[in-house]
Amino acid sequence: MNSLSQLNNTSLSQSASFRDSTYVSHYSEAFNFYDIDDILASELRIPCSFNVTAYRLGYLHTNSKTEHIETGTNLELPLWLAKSLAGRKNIVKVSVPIRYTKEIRQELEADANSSDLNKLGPYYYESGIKLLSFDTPDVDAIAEVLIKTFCSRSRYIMDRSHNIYDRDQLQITNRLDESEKKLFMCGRQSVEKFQQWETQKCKKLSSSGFVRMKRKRQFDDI
Amino acid sequence: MAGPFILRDEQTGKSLSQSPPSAESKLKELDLDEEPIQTADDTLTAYGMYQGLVKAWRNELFAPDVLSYKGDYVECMLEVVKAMEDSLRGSEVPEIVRSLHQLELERVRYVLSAYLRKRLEKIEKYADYNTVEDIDNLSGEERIFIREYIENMDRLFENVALRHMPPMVRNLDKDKAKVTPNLDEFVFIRANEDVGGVMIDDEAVNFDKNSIHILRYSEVKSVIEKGRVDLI
Amino acid sequence: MSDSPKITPADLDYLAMNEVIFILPGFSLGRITLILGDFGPFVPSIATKAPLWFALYLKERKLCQIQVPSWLTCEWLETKRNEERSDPDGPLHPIHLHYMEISSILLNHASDDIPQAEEIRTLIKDIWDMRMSKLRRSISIMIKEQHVHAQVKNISYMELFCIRPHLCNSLFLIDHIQKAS
Repeated sequence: MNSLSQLNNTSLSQSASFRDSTYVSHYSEAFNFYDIDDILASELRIPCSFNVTAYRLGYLHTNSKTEHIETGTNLELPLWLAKSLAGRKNIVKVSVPIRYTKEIRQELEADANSSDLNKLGPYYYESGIKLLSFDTPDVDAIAEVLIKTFCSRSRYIMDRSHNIYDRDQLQITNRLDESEKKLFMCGRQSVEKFQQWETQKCKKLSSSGFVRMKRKRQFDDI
Repeated sequence: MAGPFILRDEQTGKSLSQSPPSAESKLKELDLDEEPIQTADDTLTAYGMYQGLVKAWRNELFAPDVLSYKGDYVECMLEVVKAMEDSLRGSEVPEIVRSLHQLELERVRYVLSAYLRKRLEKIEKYADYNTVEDIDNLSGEERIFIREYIENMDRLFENVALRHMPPMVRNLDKDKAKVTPNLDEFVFIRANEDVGGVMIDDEAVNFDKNSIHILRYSEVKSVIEKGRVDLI
Repeated sequence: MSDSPKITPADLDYLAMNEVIFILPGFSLGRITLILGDFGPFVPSIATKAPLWFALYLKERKLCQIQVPSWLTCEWLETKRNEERSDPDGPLHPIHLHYMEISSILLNHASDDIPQAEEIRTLIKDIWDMRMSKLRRSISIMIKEQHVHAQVKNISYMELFCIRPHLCNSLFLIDHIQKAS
């Protein structure tokens, strides 16, 4: 068996077919082949253990110096690769990445609002959704945690996004994952547009702040 | 748990919120129903056509995919615009009447171009999808446009990128490399008449006339095409 | 992802401008036929119907006086505000579906024709704030309970514009996770 060619087979079209089934829509498209966020979300590292020997691919395993990957080696592979190898071909056996294991899930369930989802992986929801297509026993629990976490955080996101006077956007969004950030930006944009519409007709001409300050200073000099 | 959104209680299937108490006696004098629903007679008048065009534009704005082309509204409005322009050029009308008609013409032109522009935007974005799924919804000119657009894009990809790729990945499989609209997104609709039997997650729901609902687009797509509900 | 809202406030303005209101013309003119229907004849100081966009055009040229619609009075709006205030957890009460657009347009371009314009401005803002907070509370309940269908009564177009992105996208994300599992 030529493992190199097998791995090579995860070419453009194959990874696309995988992406077809687990694409995380960003709301306006059901499937976008060119979506950068989807591509990045598929980079999630999944711990895999090899069921067979992978010949001449030892270089993938940074720690070992062997020429081949022996059966039973544990290696972290990106999601798009793991998906292809794990399926019918059964070359690897996958297990749940650390960030989606029971401990982290319990932490999230306990206090979803103050968790830093940006640190847990900037694409926590997106990668989580892709993870659901694997055949691990944790799938239902992961889905439940994703939904519960999102539901408890959505109020916070909505309140913050509707408050456009809150200028310090970075502070609000630095604990949000990418999906939540997009949601936040969406909400904020519409309220900002509303505000602009409301005030544009009330705008009266006023002198610029710089001119006002300059005049003040000159008066003080006298 | 009452509130503006009338949600469905899982167990009992009853609505959780009620209509507001009737302080409506004071409001009865006011006509709060905007947009008179089109009657059969209206559709033949210029007003009916204009209303139809505005509705088509609004539906197009909120629908994820391209809806069927309302050619008769567009043609009719174009004729009206042309007739107006001709008559204004010729006759001696008081300044005020001239400005009035011109203002109205501008408004009609705005809706026309907004409608067509929105469709074009969606066609471009979902070009490959449209040639397969929604080709019937496009007008003749749009079909010519989409064909040329796809040809140009393919040639661009070929020249800029694909030509330089190794042989195995040189073909962009159209089946896999596409952008498709999200038919499952949530939309707000308003029912133009009583609509019964809309299936939402295996449950049949009825819409009263003039009621506003939020639900998945895929569930109401057919009813929108028939004109029984509108997107808002 | 389409970050930009699908419709703009300017479009909502356009739709609101089709509204027919009463004016007191300062000129005379016979009947005119528009696409929107027949209007006139216009006789000075006799209240006539006219579409809002036309009324504004005349107002700019000081050719008419705009008669405030019956729902844009202090009295009506105060009743409305008290209704909403007394029912903080209840549903939205009926109101003109373009109330924000029309009130904004009239207050900005024809405030001299509106008695107690400043009070009306404050009342409209209060009503808006109350309705929006009711909506936000209801939205977070809907998202938390993961509903896929709801009916809303008496929501105005501008309010829809503000809540649409967050609500629709959140519901979709939840739906998507559920479908994937």
